[in-house]
Amino acid sequence: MSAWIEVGHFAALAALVLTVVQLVAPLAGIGLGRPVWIRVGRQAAFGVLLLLTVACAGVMASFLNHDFSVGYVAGHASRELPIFYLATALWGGHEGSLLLWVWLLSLFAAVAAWRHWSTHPLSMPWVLAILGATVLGFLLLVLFLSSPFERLFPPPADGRDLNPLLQDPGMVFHPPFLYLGYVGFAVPYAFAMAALITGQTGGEWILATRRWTLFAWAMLTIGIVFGAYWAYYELGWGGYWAWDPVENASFMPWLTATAFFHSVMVQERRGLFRTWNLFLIITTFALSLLGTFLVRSGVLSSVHAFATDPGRGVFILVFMTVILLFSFGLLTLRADRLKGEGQGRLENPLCRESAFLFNNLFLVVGALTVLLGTLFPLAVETLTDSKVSVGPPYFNQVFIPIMLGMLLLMGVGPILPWRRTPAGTLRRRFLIPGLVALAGLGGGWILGIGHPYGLAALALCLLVLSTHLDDLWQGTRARMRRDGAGALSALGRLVRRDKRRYGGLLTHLGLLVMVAGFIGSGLFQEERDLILQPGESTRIGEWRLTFTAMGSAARHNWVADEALVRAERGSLVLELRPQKRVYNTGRSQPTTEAAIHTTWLEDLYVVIGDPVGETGRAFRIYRNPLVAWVWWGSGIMGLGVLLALFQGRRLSRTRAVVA
Amino acid sequence: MNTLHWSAALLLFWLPMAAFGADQTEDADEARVREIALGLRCAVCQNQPVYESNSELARDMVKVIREQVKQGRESDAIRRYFFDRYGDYIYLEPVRSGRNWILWGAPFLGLLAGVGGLLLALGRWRRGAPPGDSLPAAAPGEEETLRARIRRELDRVEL
Amino acid sequence: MGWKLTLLGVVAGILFLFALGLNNDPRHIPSPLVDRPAPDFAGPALDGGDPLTLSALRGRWVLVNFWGSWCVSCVAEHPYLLELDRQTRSRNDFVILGVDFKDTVDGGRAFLARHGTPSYRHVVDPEQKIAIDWGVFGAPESFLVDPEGRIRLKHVGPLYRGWFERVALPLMTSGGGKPS
Repeated sequence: MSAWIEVGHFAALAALVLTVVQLVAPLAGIGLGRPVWIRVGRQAAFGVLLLLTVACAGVMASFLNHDFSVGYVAGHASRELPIFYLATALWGGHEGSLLLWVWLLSLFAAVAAWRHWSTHPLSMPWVLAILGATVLGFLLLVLFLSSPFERLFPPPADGRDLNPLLQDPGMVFHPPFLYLGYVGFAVPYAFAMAALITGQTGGEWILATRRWTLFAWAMLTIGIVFGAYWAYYELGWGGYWAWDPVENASFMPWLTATAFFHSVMVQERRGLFRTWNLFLIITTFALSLLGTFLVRSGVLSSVHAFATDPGRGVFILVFMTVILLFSFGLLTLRADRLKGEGQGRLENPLCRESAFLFNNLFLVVGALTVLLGTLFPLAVETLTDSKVSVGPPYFNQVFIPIMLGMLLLMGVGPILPWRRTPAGTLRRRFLIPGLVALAGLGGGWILGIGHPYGLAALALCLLVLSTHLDDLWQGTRARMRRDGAGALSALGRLVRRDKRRYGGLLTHLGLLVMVAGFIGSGLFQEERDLILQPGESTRIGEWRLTFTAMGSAARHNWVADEALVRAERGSLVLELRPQKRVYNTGRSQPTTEAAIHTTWLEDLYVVIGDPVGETGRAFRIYRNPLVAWVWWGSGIMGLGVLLALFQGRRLSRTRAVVA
Repeated sequence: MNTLHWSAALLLFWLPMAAFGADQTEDADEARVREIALGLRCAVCQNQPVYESNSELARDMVKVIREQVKQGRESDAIRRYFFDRYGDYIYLEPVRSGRNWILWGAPFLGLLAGVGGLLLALGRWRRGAPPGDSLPAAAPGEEETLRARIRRELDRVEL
Repeated sequence: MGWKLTLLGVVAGILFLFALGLNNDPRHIPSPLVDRPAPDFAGPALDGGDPLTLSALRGRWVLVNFWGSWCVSCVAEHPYLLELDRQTRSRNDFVILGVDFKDTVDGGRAFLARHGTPSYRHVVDPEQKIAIDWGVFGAPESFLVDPEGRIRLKHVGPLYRGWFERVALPLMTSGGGKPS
């Protein structure tokens, strides 16, 4: 039974050897002028994927077999753990989640070697070698500093169970998506580095990586939102984003990646910003690594931090230093070769190109702000003899205004033409949106939004919404006139013709929905802290809540105190059951299970606290307006990216038919 | 600000129902306790406000806050009380003084510098000097064909 | 040229910061109370005798030791405290005062019965009000208060053999009552 883990361990060790082949063979092929060696490197990439799949399967099988002779299994599972969590406990802890990381990386390396083999022969050896080196680094970490394959002797009769907080669907999906995002940037990074090394910085690498970047960005978005959703459901504090260092670590690459695929459009169209784009993609990957470092090294304290170990910290730091100095060093060395962008000259400061420039400025300053806020406590602690905390109030006050500027650009950029904007166009296209935004300002004031950021955000959202809708309408009308089609089919054709553009616009609209959610839940959240005796009731918003009685609930691996709360609004009557759960095995802290009732306008969110006196109970009740819009908005953003991803395929087919 | 203007209509519809028995309401001071406790870092936790933490120390700190609020102390004085004992570390919102000005100022300075720099650069480019004027561009024809190829491939490139 | 140096400088700076930061001790948090007047406290004594007041000890150096029976490191620290107590009992310029916080009277007494009862006395602080007033994070933590009632240093974690001679005595002999 425990043979599984040994098979897995052996496969991982073999993969380590093969990774070295993947790293060395293509370089040797270039050095010796023997293309066959490059092919060997490619086969090695496939082999690494196969072996690491076996390694993951080995750990997973050990979980499913309750093989507690494996230290990692004993630490993160128990006999009572439901099978769903048993299978996914692979990434429930530090060691296993690193294994998942490296497996995904090998998967992407293999896919890149397979898909780009014939289309990008010049870059391929370098891509193989760079991805090989990255896999190698992480594999060394997995095998020698945080091994999920280690055995215990004698094996315990039962495991210490998975942390109850992680026994939640949100936590099952959050890490894989986040890692898909982080790791997804490795491929564009490798192509960018290959471009720098070979000097082919024109466009090949951008063609190769456009979809990778979009895909990785979409995964990162979903991963971040899953994490927020999990925090909202599981941690019981009524919020979803705490500006925790680890959350910031996932948010920074998101910001720079967003900057990247905006500015890359300028390079495609106009040949501008080459160095800048390389810088952005390298930075994005570097920030992904930084996130890993922050989480795993224990250098920053955070709610998410895995068990810390100085050895690991040192290794990750060395690994990161090598990668960063190599990448940025190469970029600065080769930067001068990248010039000769004379073709692309901006004739007029008011054009799409310059809007993208400012977009990049705001996004990068935003990312740097998050970086500063995250690292500032570390800097103060290290360089002086004192400590500071940088918490949510800082980020809310500094980051949000920067993003308001971003929102303004989002309203303006997409409808500015390339190259130059005639004055007439400007007036025609911005008059109505401008008026709508002003009306929003007034309307928001009347609605009672007192906070200046809230007001500005509302007005800017309306600006973006109206320019985007106007843009869609103009396009549709033109098509209707030309093809004589109905509005809907004209819209359909319009979108189908340029999926990338309209996918982008849809993503913007998704973001608007999210921003509405941020305004609602951020500025209008209501809270009540009070003690209720059975039979007593209270109100929040239009809800009247009555604490009926205490009950209890149990599943096979936990027992819970459960409050029965009747919630009434008009004729609607609900029963909510917030719980305090105690899991049977091991970990002592009871977990808080909020009872949440979601409507499209607001969430009612009830948490119970400690017993007070004989029968009383402490309650914490939140009314969170529009919080569901945050989740829906991210879904719309995902759809937008999906649309943009379909671009190439469909166009090529129609071209083929025409030709 | 915390009122519910959104659904004022719903509220009006519902108001007549509000006449039933007396409701338990939150203690009048509790909102102020919450406001203060949300701004203080739980000293023994990792990045959690005192208010949201379940640790013993955090709970006892909330008790101390509640007591001081009941005694009628100003919110700022209560915050100051913790600051004097636990230092900068206890404020989730870093104070605006001394070295912390780097933290508060740098983003906006960066933004200003960036906007200024971009405007300058745009002005310069507009006057005709191409960016990167030191090196001659690649042969125009070559560049053009390359870009044509890119545009073509953009349209049909697959993953 | 400028941007290249800036970029590499920033990257190197961050990496350097991380390298230094790996050695940071997350438990070390400097106290702003050092060199400030010690907050006075008065409370019931663990031995059930007369209530204790810090200001009553003015004129002597006071080692205020925060502990609790729930604290594992306090067990490790206790033998040294017993030794220090024996060693300094005869001094008239130095006294130890324990603060048993977040604890029950029974718990505290049981701890002393099991690990040894020193001659110095302890205040009971069940709701850790004194501890919060002194900016205490956990146990054990110790403060050295000078004869004028000023906190001169704070020590987080167990006191160790030789601490008194190496850390406290130099302060007591050189600085006298005045903060340097």
